[in-house]
Amino acid sequence: MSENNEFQSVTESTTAPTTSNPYGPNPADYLSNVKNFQLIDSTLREGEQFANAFFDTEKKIEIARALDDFGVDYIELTSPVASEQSRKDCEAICKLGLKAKILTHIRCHMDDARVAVETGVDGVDVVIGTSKFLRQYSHGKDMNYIAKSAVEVIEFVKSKGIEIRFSSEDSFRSDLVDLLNIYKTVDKIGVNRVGIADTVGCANPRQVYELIRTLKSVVSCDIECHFHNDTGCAIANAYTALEGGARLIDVSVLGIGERNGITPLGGLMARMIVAAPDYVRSKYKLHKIRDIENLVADAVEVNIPFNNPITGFCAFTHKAGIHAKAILANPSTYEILDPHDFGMKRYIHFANRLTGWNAIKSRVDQLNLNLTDDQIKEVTAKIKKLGDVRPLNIDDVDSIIKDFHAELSTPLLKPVNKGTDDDNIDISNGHVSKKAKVTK
Amino acid sequence: MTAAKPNPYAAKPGDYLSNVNNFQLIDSTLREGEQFANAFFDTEKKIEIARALDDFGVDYIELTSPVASEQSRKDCEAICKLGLKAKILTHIRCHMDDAKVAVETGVDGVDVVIGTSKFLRQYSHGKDMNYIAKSAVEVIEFVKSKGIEIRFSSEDSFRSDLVDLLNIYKTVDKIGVNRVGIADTVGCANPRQVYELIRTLKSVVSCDIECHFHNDTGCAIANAYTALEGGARLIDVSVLGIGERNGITPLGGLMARMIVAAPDYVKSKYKLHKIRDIENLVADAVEVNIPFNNPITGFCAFTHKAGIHAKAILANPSTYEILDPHDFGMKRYIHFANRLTGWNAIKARVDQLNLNLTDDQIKEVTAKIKKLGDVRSLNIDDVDSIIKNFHAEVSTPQVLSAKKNKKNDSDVPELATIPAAKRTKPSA
Repeated sequence: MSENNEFQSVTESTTAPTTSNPYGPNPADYLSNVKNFQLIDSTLREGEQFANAFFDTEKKIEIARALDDFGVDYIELTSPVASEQSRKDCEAICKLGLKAKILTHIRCHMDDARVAVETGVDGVDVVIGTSKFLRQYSHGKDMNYIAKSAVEVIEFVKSKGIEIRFSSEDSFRSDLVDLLNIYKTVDKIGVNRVGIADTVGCANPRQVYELIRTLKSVVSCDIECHFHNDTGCAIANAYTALEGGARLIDVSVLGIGERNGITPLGGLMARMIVAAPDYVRSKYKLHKIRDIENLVADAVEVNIPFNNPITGFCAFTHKAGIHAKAILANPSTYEILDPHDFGMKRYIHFANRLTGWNAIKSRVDQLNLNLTDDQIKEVTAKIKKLGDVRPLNIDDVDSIIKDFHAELSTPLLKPVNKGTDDDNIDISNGHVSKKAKVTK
Repeated sequence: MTAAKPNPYAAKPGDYLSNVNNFQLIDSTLREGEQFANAFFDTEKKIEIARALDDFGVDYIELTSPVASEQSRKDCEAICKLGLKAKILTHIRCHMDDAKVAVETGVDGVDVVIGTSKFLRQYSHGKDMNYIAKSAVEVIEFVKSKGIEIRFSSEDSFRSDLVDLLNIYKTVDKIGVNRVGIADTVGCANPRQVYELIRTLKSVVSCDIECHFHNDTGCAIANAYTALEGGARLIDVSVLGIGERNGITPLGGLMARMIVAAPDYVKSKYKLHKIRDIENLVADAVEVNIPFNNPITGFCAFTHKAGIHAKAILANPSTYEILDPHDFGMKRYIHFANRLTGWNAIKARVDQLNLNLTDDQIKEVTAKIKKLGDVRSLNIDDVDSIIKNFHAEVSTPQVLSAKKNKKNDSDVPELATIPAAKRTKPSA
């Protein structure tokens, strides 16, 4: 990867949002919570189950504060029963006095519940496997037993005056009647939320929509959803769940979790800002996403994926000539996300053989040179020709343009010899492709 | 994966239009992928990628317009001459100038595209719908007269006027295009919106429907799946999803989605174990790392960590896995060297180390491991040392325990089946 500035930062700003949003909630979805959703961040629970994750107390607190600052509604922590330090960390985070409510995630056991309610959390997330796989190979309990222990745990937690969520695990491979039965039972005794979890990442969007709609007609409490990303549908499933009437989505920073993780915080924000721009912008500090992702990526020693929504190094980079032309005229043409919403910038990648004369024209303007359109088309042809031979960087293009300009405007003089002397530090405000990945 | 006879994740019986069991792939790594910020493919690399995709089994390979540059045209001709099983397409603007060049390259088909959204009509080509229809008809009839396939696609379809769209698709369908294309050029579409548009379009045209989804809002795979449910037949993909901005539906990710829904079709048609090699080939060529969380080939895609997960996975992998790593030539890992571990995972490790411990003893040593895991991150050597020391103490109580000095020589290379997390990322 070249260390050169082969990108051109584009300065003109913002798209004027139209009044009726065609990507907003479907009017037929009267149950939709697209404009009224909440986030449960599970970086410190599901994320701790990510292969590379080890968070010490200090790091946990740093992450919790960052999430709180961003504006997540809930922060979920590893079960205090998992280890002695997990319990201490849970207590420490509860004492921070964050705006976000603190939850801990436990098995459906009185032993776990007794420990959890003593940590100072605002709520307890209870989970038990209900699919035939889990009933057979994990805990080995039947549905009656599950219902019985659920009721016991729920009533105990409620008696302590804190929130309680009951979730099945692997909901999409559980028997529908069993599921509705147990959700109806726990709803009646007054849980705050019921949870649907696609623990293996098998669900697809329309399946999610139907299950959530059905569940919504059975329970009166809020519905929370947890989607794994094994088959790449975690963001879409979360969105469709909100359309179907779910209210809360489990996310983690960069989606870290078991295997390849769950719905990512940043990715979901990209999805939601398209559908509910006012709600999302007013509720969450979107420009903090990059910092939070860098914080967590450093902690678990991964790179931000090159194609990450919003913060991937190429998320706002336009290359083809036809794209660049339209983007220069109006960014909305090829952008549904405005980089400025996230504190990011847009780049037109013009130093390549797919470039067009509109992109080159804007570079000529940046270089403060005067060329006619015909001249610019001529120099563009030269650039494309060289681009066919080898990868170009911004210096190459600038040299070609400057040489061309020199020849034209001072025909009496010999053209300045080829490049290498001009660095244009003042002008080349493009970013460096590879470095932007690990960026600060 | 031993799927029960009726597959609960398969096409829904209510979707009589579904092509989930009958889809085709158009790989656009050498067209859309060339528009990826870092991409520069020379002729040799293009041919290498085309051959790899052909070997994998994609149905079509789409190439950059021969009008884009002189070399693009030459590369297009070179790839057409390879005699691949996959059909070769090239992607051009809706212009006679482009079409005339394209049909001379030797391609099996031409993909024609024009922007139909008000944004594109205003800021890109500045043409109205009548003009678009007229030039479309001209180009289509010309390409057809040359006896090769033709696809007509709108650009930015989800921000185009529905009536305009259906109008022009109906027109081009009548004059006999092979496929019409729907393109979510900005990545704004959501799955149910896709389903509705495709179903509507399906009732208007009789030709196949092709879909192209950008991934700006993370829905490209789900949208592709839902489009197939709605009756689309062909999906545009690229390796690792590379393309403009953060790209389009990734080949590997879509395979992960489709193998769940149509396992027999996918396994019989595509060489799934080649995905890793193809991804590495392209990642090297465009100088990116495979994302840590990439479907199938990300370093943690098949790694299980929490004790409760590990226990069940050891009993039956389907418990926490919808994808079988062996289908892709990959392996499963139980990550037991951490404080969230459980005694079932440790027991499996004890067995691997070929040591004899009772369940109670294993629970005891698990407690020790979790305690150390609370203090710092563990690696496999730490855990093995703890287990071995414990085993030594238990089984030879008269001898003093081997203690710390064991720590360094316990490498157990033949047993250490755990991936070196960081290292496997750029692997080969």
